[in-house]
Amino acid sequence: MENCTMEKALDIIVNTFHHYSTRVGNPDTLVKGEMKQLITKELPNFIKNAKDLQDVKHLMQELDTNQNGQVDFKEFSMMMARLTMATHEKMHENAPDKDHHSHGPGLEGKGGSSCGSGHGHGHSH
Amino acid sequence: MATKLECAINCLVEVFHKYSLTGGHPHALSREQFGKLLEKECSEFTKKSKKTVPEFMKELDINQDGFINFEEFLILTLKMVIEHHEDSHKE
Repeated sequence: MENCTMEKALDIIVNTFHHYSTRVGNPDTLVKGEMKQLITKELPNFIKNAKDLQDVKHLMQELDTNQNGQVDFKEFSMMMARLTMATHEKMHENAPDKDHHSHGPGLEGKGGSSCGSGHGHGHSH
Repeated sequence: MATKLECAINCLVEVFHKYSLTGGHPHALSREQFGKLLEKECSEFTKKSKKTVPEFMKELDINQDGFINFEEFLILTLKMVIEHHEDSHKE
C-alpha cells in the first residue's frame, strides 16, 4: 500500500465494509451473501490461505457474537484483527532471514504481493 | 495480486513495526516509541480522546510489562476502527 498510514488503513476497512453492508437489508450489517461477496472480492488471497476461515457459514457463526444472523461492524472488526495477527505470523514464516527480525510476504502469499510500499518482501534488521 | 483491503491489513502490521523496529525488542513499543506512534498515526483519535500517552499505556498494557506488544497494539486499532466507523455515520 502506497504511503501506508494508520488512518488510510482504517478508512479502507470502514469503506469496504459499507460497500457490501449497504446492499441487502440493514445497511450497516452484513448478511451471509454480503459477507461471501466481500470475502470473495476483497480477501481472495487472505482467506484462501487461512484454512480456518474458509467456510463462510462457520465464519458468520463465529463472528456473530450477538447471534442475530448478521455481522455488524464491531463483529467485523474482530475478523480484521484476526487477519492482522495471521498475516503478521505469515510474514515471519515467509521471512528470508530467520535469525534477524525480518518479514516476508503475509497471507497474500509468495508472488502474490505488491502492496506498493516496498514492504512485504523482507526487511531485515 | 493483493487487494486494497488486504494491503490495508498488511499496512497495520507495517505501522507497528515502523516504530517498534527503531530500537529495543522488535515486537515491543517503549513508552517513547508508542508516544511517537500516537502522535504521528493517531493524532485525531488521541486529540478527541483527551488522554495522555501514559493513560493510553496504562489502558493497553494488559500484561503490565511497561511495553506495548503487537497484540496490545491491535486493541488500539480495534478501538480506533470502531470509532472511525461511528464517525463515518456522523458525517
